[in-house]
Amino acid sequence: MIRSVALVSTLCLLAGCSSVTVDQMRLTETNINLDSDTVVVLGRQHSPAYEAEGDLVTCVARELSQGAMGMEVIPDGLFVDALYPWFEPRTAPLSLARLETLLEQQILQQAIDNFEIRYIIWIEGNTETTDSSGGLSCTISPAGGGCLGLGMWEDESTYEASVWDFHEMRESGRISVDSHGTSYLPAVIIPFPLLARVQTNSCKGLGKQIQSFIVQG
Amino acid sequence: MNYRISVLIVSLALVAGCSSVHTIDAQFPIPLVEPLPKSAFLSMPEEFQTYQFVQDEEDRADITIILGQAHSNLFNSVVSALFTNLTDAPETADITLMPELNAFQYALPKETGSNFFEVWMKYRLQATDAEGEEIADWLITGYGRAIDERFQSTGTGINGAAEEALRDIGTQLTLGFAQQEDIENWINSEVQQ
Repeated sequence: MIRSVALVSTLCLLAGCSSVTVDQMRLTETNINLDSDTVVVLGRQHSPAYEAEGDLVTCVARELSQGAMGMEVIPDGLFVDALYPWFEPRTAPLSLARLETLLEQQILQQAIDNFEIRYIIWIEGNTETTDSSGGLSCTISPAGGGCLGLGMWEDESTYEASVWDFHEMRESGRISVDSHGTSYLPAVIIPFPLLARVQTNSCKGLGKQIQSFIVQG
Repeated sequence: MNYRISVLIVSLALVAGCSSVHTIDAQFPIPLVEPLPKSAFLSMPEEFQTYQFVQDEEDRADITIILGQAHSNLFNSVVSALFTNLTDAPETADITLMPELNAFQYALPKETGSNFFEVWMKYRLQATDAEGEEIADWLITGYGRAIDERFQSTGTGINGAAEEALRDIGTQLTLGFAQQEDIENWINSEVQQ
């Protein structure tokens, strides 16, 4: 027992500690043809408080495309550039009603149709450092240099994905993920970072849940 | 001896702070709009195409931001989508557009305490008709931000924010051009002729 606790503690210390909670709310049934339908994952950018990091959006898209339930995901940059300037922070539709209004323009409807989009997945949220402590000092001199000390910080991430059914023009559901973890940076001459991969864990949790949400209906 | 001199130079550079040069590297998509059935000439003088913003305030690090190529790319993309024909000479154009950068500002995360690199730009866009008469004089302000990712360089952050600000300028120019009262009047008068 003591050995197990010691092993878990050691692994936790080596990788940093983190935990992930995923919640899901289904509003309507989902249905996707994995052979012909595509999805696109977009980050909300209308407010700094909700702006999801670009690498998080890319990571979720990658998760959706992998595994037995993998689906074709249109790269967000390709989609946003093809529809420029209608999906910019200033112009991106915040509701399905607004999207329907935009699609009254034939040129826009045609451009989206070319992608054969079935679901648009909007992600908002962020990862931030909520606490930090410890200290680390580094020196450099003609005789050499090095660092000494221990720094640690706690990261928290909260993301919510909203799944829009582009065929039915309705919201299919929402999936949220909360994750937090502590990273350590001990240094004896050389810093040795032990990072809690909070954002990566959120991405994997969110990606897998969205995938099963869409495919398993 | 050489080793000691190198260490001394690096140490002095770290203590004194270094000036840096960042080139905004950005390409812009052609906007998705129905073009006006007109020909246009885009007047961008050499000074505009090679514009550099130089930050030399005493309480900030010296930074040079090379913007000329990026904003030239933006105006080329947008104006080529707004009109059916982009000409090489003003004499053959129904309208001539002359963009001019009036203001450029940036803020770093360490200056604002936020998690973003931020850039603001203000352009003045003058439009004249084939006879050289003024059609419109329009100010457009753009804003862009880029998240300060861990271990990301200042140059990458400024580049991302400036690209977003330019895209914002392009968005307003594309969607607001025909809605400008003076431009709208000009379009209607051209239709009547």
